[in-house]
Amino acid sequence: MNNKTGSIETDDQTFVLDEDGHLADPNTWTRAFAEQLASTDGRVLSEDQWWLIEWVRDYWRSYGNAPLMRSVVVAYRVHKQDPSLGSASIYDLFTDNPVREACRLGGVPKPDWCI
Amino acid sequence: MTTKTRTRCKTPLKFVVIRVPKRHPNYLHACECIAQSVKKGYSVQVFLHGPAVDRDLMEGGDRLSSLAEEAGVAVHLCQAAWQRLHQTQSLASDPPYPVMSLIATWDAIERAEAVCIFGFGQWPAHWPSITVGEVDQQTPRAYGVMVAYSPSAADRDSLVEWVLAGATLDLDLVVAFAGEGASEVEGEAARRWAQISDHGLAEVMTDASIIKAHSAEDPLAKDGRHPGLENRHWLVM
Repeated sequence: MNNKTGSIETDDQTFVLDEDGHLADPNTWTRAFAEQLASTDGRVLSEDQWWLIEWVRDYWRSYGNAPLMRSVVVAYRVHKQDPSLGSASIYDLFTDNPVREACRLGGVPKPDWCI
Repeated sequence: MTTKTRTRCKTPLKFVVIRVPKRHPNYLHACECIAQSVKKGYSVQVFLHGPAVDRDLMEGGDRLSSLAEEAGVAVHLCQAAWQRLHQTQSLASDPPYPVMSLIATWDAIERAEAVCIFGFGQWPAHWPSITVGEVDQQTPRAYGVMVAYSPSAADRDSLVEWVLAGATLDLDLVVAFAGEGASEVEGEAARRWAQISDHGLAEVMTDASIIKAHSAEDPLAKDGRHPGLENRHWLVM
């Protein structure tokens, strides 16, 4: 692994990162990439974190951009079958900019339009 | 439910969005509008969005830069558009004006006494005529984004971003596609816009829906009015 200098290495593949630290070619994304990138931060991804990563990735593939937080919250409520959940529950998954982090781990380009 | 209160500044703010490049006639019209607004005592804030943020802007020395330097007009560039220009054109220099996010732009629009858009489109002649360009002081405001032209792929991205930023702020928002803009809800172009309706980010109006609303069977058409249109501040992109 060498994400500080622009790449992530798994057992059988080297992934090039862009200047924002996101996967340079989103089409090369694999779960192994996400696991390796998370491990460089000392993390093992939970089931719900995986849900967010894959949901954000699916959204990007469908529409060409990362989702808004409000869309993530609605989808997470459905996923967890809990209508009381709010954005705080998404921040429980990744405390710092959860959609951006899901993009980074999901091989989705950095959302350049938001905030 | 929260209620926003809007406080009036001593100097009314006019917010001008320019979406066309310098070589487009509407750019000159925008500069004329800005100059007139300054004369009328407005504090003018200008936001260059989408196709307006191009390489020609780097040259400076035009009427807008004169207005910024001599008349105190605050000019900002769209942050996302600048980032893309900077990356794709490998520009080494700093932006000619400060950058501003779309979220901050919508916030400024919310505070402005008047908003003007100088873009590629016009209010479609076959839609009910309404007053475009004036901001009422209803609280909270409702907005409409009118796309009545066929944008390039890059411009489409900037339009989608514009709407998404408004949706981020939970604004009461309608996106309308009319005339040549109707092609945006067909084929590959529709993919980018589909998220708006799929995820309830804004209401979508089309030629078909407005014609239906104004048909003889529709009670809204009895007095020739359409509250869904008239109670909004329309931004004709």
